[in-house]
Amino acid sequence: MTYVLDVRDLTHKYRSGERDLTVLADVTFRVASGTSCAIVGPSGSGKTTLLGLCAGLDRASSGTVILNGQPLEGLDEDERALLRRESVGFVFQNFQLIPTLSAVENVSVPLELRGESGARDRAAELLGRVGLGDRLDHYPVQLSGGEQQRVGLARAFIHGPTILFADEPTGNLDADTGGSVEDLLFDLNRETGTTLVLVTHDVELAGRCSRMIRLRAGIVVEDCQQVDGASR
Amino acid sequence: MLWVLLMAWRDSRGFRHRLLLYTSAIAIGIAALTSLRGLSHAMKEGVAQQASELLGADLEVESKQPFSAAAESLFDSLGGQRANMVETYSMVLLPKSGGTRLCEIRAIGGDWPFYGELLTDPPEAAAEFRQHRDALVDNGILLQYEAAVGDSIKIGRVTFRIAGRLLGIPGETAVRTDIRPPVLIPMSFLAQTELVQYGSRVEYKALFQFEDTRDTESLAERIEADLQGEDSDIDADTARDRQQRLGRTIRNLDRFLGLGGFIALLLGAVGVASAIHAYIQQKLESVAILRSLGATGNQALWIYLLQAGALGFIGSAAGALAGAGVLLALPAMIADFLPGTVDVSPRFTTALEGIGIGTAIALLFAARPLLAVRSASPLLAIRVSYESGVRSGDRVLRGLVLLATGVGTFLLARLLAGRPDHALFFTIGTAVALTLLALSAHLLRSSVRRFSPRSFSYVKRQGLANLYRPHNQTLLLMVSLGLGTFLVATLYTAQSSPGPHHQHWWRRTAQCRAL
Repeated sequence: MTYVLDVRDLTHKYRSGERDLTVLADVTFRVASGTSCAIVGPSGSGKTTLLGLCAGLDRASSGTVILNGQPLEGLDEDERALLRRESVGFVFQNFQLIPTLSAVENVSVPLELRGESGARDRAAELLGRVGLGDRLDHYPVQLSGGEQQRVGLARAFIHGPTILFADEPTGNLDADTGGSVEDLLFDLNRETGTTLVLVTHDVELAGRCSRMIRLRAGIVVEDCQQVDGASR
Repeated sequence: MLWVLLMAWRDSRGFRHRLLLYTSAIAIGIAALTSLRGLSHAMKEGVAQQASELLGADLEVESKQPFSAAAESLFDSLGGQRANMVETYSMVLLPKSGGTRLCEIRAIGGDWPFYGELLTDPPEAAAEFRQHRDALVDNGILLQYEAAVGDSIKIGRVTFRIAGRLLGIPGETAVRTDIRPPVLIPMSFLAQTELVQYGSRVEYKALFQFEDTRDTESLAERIEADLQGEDSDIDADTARDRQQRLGRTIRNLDRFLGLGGFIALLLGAVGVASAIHAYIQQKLESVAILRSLGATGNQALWIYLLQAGALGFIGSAAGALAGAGVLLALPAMIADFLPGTVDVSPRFTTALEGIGIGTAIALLFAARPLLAVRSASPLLAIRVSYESGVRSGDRVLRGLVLLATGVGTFLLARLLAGRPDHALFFTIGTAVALTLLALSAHLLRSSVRRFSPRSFSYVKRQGLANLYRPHNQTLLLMVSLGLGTFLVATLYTAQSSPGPHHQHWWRRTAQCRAL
């Protein structure tokens, strides 16, 4: 079995006034290729911090993160950006579309960064797949929350990432819209065979993943395989 | 690079109107710079081209006493064509209106001016007044007292017929003639006026035109040396002397105008820096998204550097265009202050220079706030409240940018102010002012934070708290407004403090006083 993400003894501290605040303490886990893993826990448990460290958005105080075979601590900011460009996709809680770019342009960005040709056509095709074929030239402000998150999903999958990090992907959506976005996320994930690491409060959403890691106060308190997860 | 260009264009959507507004800061600076430099160039060229007209002769010898027999003998030996002029001051009376006015009376004998011409209305009066008991009277006096050609004017004991309106004298400005309005009369009537008496303030002038190309500078020196005994206050002046003296004043004026242009541009640059700072703060989230998707720091930086460069270029081009317009309008506005005519047509090279300087200075001053793009953490994409620190590499880069801004400011000051010591003092002064303003802003923030009274009303407390809360603009506003005030105050100080050379020269020549 190959592991796309290998986290070992990960500790992260913030300086808060005169003292260090430990947000993550000795977190260790591995995520196998093609699987889905939910990281759950209450607010302030360190979920988003863990996601940021795993994706190379931040540097850990100590410990190791090996992403797609590359230890992140040896890479500088730009090298980590290049690694994300090649192998990482993101879905954000608040969609994080670039407001000055149309839907199709937002989706094209990962391919354009890789210098691939035909980015617009492929973006248009994928937007059609998520049901926004008629909204290509609309700007984020002209789209509803659910539509924006579908654009976000198309952007996350367009370059065929090895691993997809999703931070509360339905956190800003109502139940119905959130449900359809969840379906789309897992459908695309299954179709592309991408490894999914998902941070959520939503136990039901976490239940759709093949594995669940529970964090409390920065410590892994539970790590369990879910037999009916990804297949559901 | 193509993607960066594309992103720079896409990213500017929705902000283009605001960006164009930002360009006005640099446009105004460049408009001032190009028009002032164009005027300066034109004046230098005008002085060079009209050198002999500044004096109206090749050589002028003047004395406060009538020339001695030795002087007359020496003048006779010089050959060439000679004219005489006696200048004095007197009240004149215009009998028709009863108006009186202190005027500079010039009695002319001979065909002066040899170069250039007296501008009169009617034109033929310039030659005809010499033959009769006629006078040429400054147009300002005639307008003031509603007198007309053909009326009388009483000067001393003689009443003259006004033969024409005097509109211009070679090498003299309208402003100068406003202060001491001239009245020209034939030399043959001077004695009858009885203006020249013991105690009168009189200047006697002998003016020469030489057909040959003799060295008039050496000749002037020889005359002063030869007549030192008998005519101790004699002063010989050549067209070249006058040109050099005027040239020095033009150079000083050039430096002053250069300083004005420099300050206008620096104010524009401070405006650009403030605008880019505010713009980039709004863009950091987009930058973080791009960084999380795999854009490198340099790619992100280039997107906004291109926008700043385009802003600088468009602003500078608009400024150069506006500067050309101002330059075309200048002759009408300042004609009264110029000796002779000055061709102030816009120059392509000055416009190009302005565009180059404007673009470079906009980029230089935008670079410091733009570095925030390089430092922006991709973590901002998932944590809105996250504040990026400054990477050690970026600290070095910030230092280098600061140094480059200082060097750029010095080079610009050197180019426009003319002298390296002035440029250095000005750059250091600006840097000191900048540091003091930044310290003041810091002091204000910490003082308000510590000492803001709790008894204040809610509105007052919130208003004061905004001075130190996160994302406050206290430093930016204090530095921008303070530096603007400092620069304008510097310009006013320079304007009201002419140097010793200026004062000496202003005393000596009316042209330069007018300038």
